[in-house]
Amino acid sequence: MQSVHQATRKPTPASSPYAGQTITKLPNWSGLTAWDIWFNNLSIGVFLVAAAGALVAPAHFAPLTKYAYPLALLLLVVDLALLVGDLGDPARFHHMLRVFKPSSPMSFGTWTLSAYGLLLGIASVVAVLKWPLLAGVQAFLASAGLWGLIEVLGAAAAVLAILPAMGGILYKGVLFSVTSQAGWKDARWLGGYVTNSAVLLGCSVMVLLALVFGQSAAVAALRVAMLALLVLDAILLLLLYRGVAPAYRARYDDNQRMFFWIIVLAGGLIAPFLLLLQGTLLIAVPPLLILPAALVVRYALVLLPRPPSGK
Amino acid sequence: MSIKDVARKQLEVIGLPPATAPERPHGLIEPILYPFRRGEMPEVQPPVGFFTDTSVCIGCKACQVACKEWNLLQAAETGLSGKSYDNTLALSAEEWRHVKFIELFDEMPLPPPPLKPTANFDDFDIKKLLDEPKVGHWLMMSDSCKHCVSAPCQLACPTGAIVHTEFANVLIQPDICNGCSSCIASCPFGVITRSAADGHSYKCTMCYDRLHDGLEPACARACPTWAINFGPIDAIKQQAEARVKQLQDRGVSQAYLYGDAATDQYSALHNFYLLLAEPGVYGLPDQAANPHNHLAGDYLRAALGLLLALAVLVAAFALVGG
Repeated sequence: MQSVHQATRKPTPASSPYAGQTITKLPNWSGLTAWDIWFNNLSIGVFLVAAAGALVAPAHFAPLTKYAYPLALLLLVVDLALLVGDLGDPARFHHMLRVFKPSSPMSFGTWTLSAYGLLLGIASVVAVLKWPLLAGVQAFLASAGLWGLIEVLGAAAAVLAILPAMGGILYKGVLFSVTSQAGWKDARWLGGYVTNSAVLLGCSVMVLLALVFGQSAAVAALRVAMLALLVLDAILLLLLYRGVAPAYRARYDDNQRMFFWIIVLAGGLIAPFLLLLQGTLLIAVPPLLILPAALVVRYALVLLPRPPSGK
Repeated sequence: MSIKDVARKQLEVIGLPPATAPERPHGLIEPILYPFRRGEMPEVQPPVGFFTDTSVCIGCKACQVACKEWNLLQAAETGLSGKSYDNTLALSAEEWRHVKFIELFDEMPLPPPPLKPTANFDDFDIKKLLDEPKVGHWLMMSDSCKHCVSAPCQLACPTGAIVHTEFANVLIQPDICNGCSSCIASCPFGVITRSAADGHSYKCTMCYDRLHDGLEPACARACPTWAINFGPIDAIKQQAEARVKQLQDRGVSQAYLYGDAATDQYSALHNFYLLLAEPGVYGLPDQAANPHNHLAGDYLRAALGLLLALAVLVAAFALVGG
């Protein structure tokens, strides 16, 4: 005769009713969050590229900052609206500012984005005053002896905003990689990929701005930078993929994976690289390929822990 | 009549003064200022916790019901997975305790034992009965928040809504939480859930209000088999170790403790378990890992990506700028 414990086979995780059940719970971060990362990266990318250009090559980039800073602010406003909209209780957004917790990527991000937004706001107001449309206001301020002070204030705000802007993209990838969610938790290079990609996105938008405002030297400099950034982007994407590959294969079927690779590799990396390599003839095309490809990558990453559709 | 009115009337009937719960902030400015106000820090108390002995859990769900009753948790739709008698399926914003039923019936294709006449009790042999082949058995486990000593949810919470209480347990302050979901993403045990009703995160509070009044949590109070043991951490750890030894001495060699001590990847839990099978059988992670172990490294890699990108920019701009 067998005893109870001999009679029943040893229970295994596979034989449990809870087998195959995902232990962790999914946060409600989905499509809106992918757009949020994209707008965050666009805003900070545009700002950092414009600010770096204004500091290193002012002759070619300073004329662009008066449009780049307000554009970065506009993109940030969209990003912040998405961030707040993602909360369970948007009316409590300001509770984020109760504490500063470096252990919380979201707390770090909230504070850095707030500081960045404030300083970018000042820099943008000064930039807008430089628009030909507001020449009268500028002349009035100059006659009152205030314009010099305002210009210094704008320049100082732009320089000071660089540090919080860097913080504002540093946290974005870490917010996902420092979680217990399938795929994200193994994405050790997500932060590295996102920061580099943000600068690449910034260059893409700045190329279009430079083309619109006829800054050919800026276009030439941005072309060189984008070539190098695309190489870095490919390396970092590969490092990121090495970590998330098992979750990626489990999440997406063959067709979806092929679609992503075509969009990301061919559309977002190889085609722009080849177009940039041939010169500035088709320089407006690479940004138009890079921008949507970056959104696709963000979507694929944000949806990684979710069960495959239909399951 | 609102729930508030009912509660007030009940207090009147039993002769207690009306509860002095803080008023909800109202007006335009007060809701904005309110979360920034700090109360006094409570005095630190000896850490307390749960030791759940799954070997004596009978799956009666008294703990689950007591939890719902005491915490006034909303009723939720029940459902079945098709694999178990478990009809609440998971912890949620409305279920802060969840009794898991692990049926092990489909493993052994033995026929049921033949029915025997039992009228003649003179021939009754308990040993013979116990030795009869069984067609399977259940494992039961009453699950809730693990009250981690180093809690990923608390580390991730950007509002300071999640705190370690003076009793060294993890509490979500519902009036502070804004539903950002960072805690949900961080928890390796899948404990915290955002309520669809108000958008805030919820989980077991270890009956913080009861602890304040010197009472044990409602679930431990209701447990009829002492599967849920509540007390000072040191005392329940000793109790748990003694129980494991007792079981092993009686031939239950698979008994062990889960979460009583820290590992190199995760802190100790203030809600730890005696289990009779691998953690995965109970829907627990085999080796929980604190995601915050990667925080510094991930920030460094992010900084590396950014600094390389900025170096490229500066070099390219210097080329034309010069």
